[in-house]
Amino acid sequence: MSNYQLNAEIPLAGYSYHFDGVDLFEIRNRAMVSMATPKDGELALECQLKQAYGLGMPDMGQWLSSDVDHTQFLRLQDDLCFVLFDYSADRAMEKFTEKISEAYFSEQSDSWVMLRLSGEKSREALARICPVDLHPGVFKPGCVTRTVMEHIGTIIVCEAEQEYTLMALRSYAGSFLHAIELSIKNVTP
Amino acid sequence: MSQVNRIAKGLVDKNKPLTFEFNEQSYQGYEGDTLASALLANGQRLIGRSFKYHRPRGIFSAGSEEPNALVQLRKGAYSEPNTRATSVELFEGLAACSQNHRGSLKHDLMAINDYFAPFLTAGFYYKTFMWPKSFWEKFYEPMIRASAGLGKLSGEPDPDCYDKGFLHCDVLIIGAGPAGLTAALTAGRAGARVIIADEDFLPGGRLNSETFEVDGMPGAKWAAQTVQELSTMDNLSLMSRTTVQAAYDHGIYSLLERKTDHLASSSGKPRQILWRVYSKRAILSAGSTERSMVFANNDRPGVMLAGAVRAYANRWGVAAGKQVVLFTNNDDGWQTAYDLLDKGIEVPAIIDSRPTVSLKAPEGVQLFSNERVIDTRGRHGIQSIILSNGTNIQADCLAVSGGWSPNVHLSCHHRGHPQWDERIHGFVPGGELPPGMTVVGSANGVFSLGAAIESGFEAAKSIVGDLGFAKPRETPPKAEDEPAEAAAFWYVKESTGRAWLDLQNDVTSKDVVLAHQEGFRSVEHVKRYTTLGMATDQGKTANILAMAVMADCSNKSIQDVGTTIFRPPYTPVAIGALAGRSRGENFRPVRHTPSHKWAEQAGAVFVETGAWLRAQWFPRTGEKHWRESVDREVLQTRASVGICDVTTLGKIDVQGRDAGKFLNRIYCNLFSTLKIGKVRYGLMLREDGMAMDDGTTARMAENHFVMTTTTANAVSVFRHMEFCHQCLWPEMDVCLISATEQFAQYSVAGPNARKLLQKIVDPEFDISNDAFPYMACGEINICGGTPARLFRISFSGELAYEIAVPARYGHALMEVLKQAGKEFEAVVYGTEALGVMRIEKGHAAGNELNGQTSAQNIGLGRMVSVKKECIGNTLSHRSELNKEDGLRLMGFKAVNAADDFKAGAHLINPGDASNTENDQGWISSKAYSPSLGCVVGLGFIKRGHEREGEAVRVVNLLDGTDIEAKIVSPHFIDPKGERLRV
Repeated sequence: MSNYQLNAEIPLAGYSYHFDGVDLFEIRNRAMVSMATPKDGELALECQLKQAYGLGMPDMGQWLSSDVDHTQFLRLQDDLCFVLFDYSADRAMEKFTEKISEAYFSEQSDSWVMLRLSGEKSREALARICPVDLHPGVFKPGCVTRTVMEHIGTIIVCEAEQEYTLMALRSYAGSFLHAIELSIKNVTP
Repeated sequence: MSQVNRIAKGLVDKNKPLTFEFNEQSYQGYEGDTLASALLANGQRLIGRSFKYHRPRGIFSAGSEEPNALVQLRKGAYSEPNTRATSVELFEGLAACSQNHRGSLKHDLMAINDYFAPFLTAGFYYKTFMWPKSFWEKFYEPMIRASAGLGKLSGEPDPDCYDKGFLHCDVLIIGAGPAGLTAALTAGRAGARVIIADEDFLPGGRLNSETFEVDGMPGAKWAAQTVQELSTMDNLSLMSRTTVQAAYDHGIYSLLERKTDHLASSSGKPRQILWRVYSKRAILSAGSTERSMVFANNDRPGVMLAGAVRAYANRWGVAAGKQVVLFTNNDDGWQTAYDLLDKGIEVPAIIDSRPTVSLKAPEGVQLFSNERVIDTRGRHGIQSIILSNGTNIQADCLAVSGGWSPNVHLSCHHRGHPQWDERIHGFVPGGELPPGMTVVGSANGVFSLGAAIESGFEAAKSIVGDLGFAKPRETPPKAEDEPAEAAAFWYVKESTGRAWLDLQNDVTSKDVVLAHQEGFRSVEHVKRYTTLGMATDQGKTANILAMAVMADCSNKSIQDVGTTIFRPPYTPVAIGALAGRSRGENFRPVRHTPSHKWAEQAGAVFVETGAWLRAQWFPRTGEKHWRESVDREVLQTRASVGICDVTTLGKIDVQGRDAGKFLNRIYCNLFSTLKIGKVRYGLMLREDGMAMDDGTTARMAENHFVMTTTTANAVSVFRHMEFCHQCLWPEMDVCLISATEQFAQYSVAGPNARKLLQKIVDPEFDISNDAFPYMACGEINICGGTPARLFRISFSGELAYEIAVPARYGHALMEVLKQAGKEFEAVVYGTEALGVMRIEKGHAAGNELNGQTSAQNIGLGRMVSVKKECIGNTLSHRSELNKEDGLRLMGFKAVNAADDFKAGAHLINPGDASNTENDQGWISSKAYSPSLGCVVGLGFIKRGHEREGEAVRVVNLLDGTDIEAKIVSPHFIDPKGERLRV
């Protein structure tokens, strides 16, 4: 057996800060797997999802969640969903495929830095860097989309009123955090 | 000075006095003043000096169209030149100074220029400064540079910060005057999402400067009440101090919001925000700008636009002069006389150019109809005016009204050409408006108040109906339509002195006449030749007057002369606002690999590779030059083992029943036959047969491949593959996803690479040469159960592997590899050593796959499969790409080991002249090889494969070098590949 051991690190070392009117923290212990629908395999996948999670594939640009492991399905593409669930160990894909097999999977847990932004000024702060129309009548709880913030590709999820999950590629973590922090500082006292 | 010209009333708050400085002299004003109104209140008429002739200049207007009163605002690093005093909101402690003079403002040494006016006409610089030629660089240019320009930059970095943002609305209303406010009320009440923006700090437009009533109350009061109602609407945002700068495509507008310009300090918050507004519709209610008339010495301090004179009186409670004469060609100008008289200001005379005037002169005011002002007197401020009948009238202010020009600017931003409207003697928006834009109010030539309000109402009503909201049932606010007759009168021909058109660029009517004489007949040419309309005000008060002069010169109508159009921005924008937060360290985002922190601590020198920061080399104590570090890293890797972070290379996960078939079409060589657990080198071609990118692809399972790309092409290759999947072959069962970020990946290369890895790979995984031969791959565990992938591939030419772990372990793995590698004196190497080794091995990289080379050129012609179709296959067989004497990739070694050459140098046969006819090829990559002790290069040369051993010259015409070299195999190290397979 190897004498060496590897310790895991999360991109922003568990960042958490409370601003006046806004909270921002790094989401931890959530695994992510991409789930692609095989050609002509929509029905089979839908059946498995209903059986395992009690829900079908969300509509495009929408997310659905299940109580099972707090699993959340983000529909970003016609044939692709990102799946998030509570899990922090290795091999998240294998964990997920215990329940679902009728799709093509790819491990994504380490690809993304995930931040939760919430509070009464969160929409105002986001408006400084997010081109998406964040009006509550347009980008409602249940919506998810890809966009670009400060030249960084981002996934934005509306979790609830004035509560968002923001995801960017892991390598951009430092720049991404700076962009969001600066936006918050520019709108708060 | 006390506020000698302050009068009663106005909208300023006299309970809030403010102290400010102009030219280091202290003055007082009130909250609600602009710098211009406060200066006028204090009797300060002389504000600056003109651009070319250094003539004394004063305040001309009351808005952002101001051509004269440009000041240097604030001090030190915050100092900003060319700020219009009419747009500066007064604040406590404001400091400003005049511009463009040597010596004091009153006694400007450069005023001597005025005496040389006959030599400084339009285009004089095209006819002078020619002789002697040598004087240009040493004398003329420095002199012109010293004299040119208005205002001074501080020379220090801008200490303010700026920001940008995004807003969305159904209707964007540009201008909060009567038409705009009415439109906002209508659209807001209907439930539409509305943004209404106005450059002023007090919404209301001309309502704040006039005495007309709306709905039975003073216009300013109606504006304030309307603003109050608008502020209660959740669906409406009123943005004051916000200029709509530009109309871009797809209903996108650029707005500049001034957040702290009216405060003494920004307190660390953004000074200005540049907003990008996405709107479904836009209402342009930007109003109109008054124009002057052209007569001799019409530029003296005290000559002002009539609308501005009454604005100072009505809104700011300031008398622009004690004796104000009015010169007008229309009814609107008369309102100035009425308003001033009402406030007790003396109006000695009204001069109306029209032969018949329906209005009656007020008591005590002398009316001169069918008369003109032909000249003025008074150097530092007007003292009297002279009429065409010879009458001399004493006055310290001449209010001129030549009519109003709709503010068409934003309507031109999509190259729409304004149309002439004879009714108003002016241009109105026309041609192709930006899609979704409606123009209302005086911006559309609707000058009377009642009609302007109604046009705003009707436009908003129509728009909300189109957007699906309930159309309003109410009627628009009521206002009267004031008298609006006007007669076209542009310039006083009997004036003999110089008469100004463009005050800011010092362009006179004589300049336009001269331009015409010299053959510049198009309005576009006249503009550029005379610089009329090219100053920071874009000729807002000047353009149409010049067109009138041009029309006269050419015996055409103004309509036929036409008009130039306008580009963004509407008013000047600080470069800082355009940059936003993109400055300094945060100019653009950076990408870090998982081992970045480790590399920083190890003292790496980094290089930017796109957004990535990659370690270039790792200097050790005592190493003085980068070559020492790089040579050491290369030698140690080849002698023992080296570790390099290769995380940045693209990794694309390809899965599906048709994954193999898909890759067969993407790559020029076959992949469907690749066995599970094996890796193959692949070359991608463009449609035209040229090499696009290369990499290795591993087959992890029957329907699962992992492709690598170069770092630079990771995105473009993925995009290309998605295009192929979605658009070319949607019938295939294949899915793609990027895994570049998921794995930290390290190259472990050198004779001891296997031994090092065996220390960390869990024992149940056999990575011996038999079990894991060259080009094998597989999923393994390391360090007691951590999942990893191992690929036996080599870029360096040594025994090598690439090991990939989930990125969360990336930092830790680097630490472990270094620790485990201690016994082998393992070295961590950077991209520079990586590059040296691949050149030594003869691997093609970006320099060779530069979009100009084919598989044949690179020596991989046989890789292009004949058994299957792939992108680029057909066109790769074009005869030009397969010539016998075509270029081939070869190695090049200097004959004299001490010689050096550069990539980019060309290859010429010995004895031939160094010219394009004799060009044999070029050096694409070059490095000093510590393994061979000399400079080596890769390059393309005609018939290279037949010329090994021949002599050739490496010629660089840029640095004058001409090196003798030998054509050799591109594989300088281990040409048989024995080291790879041990």
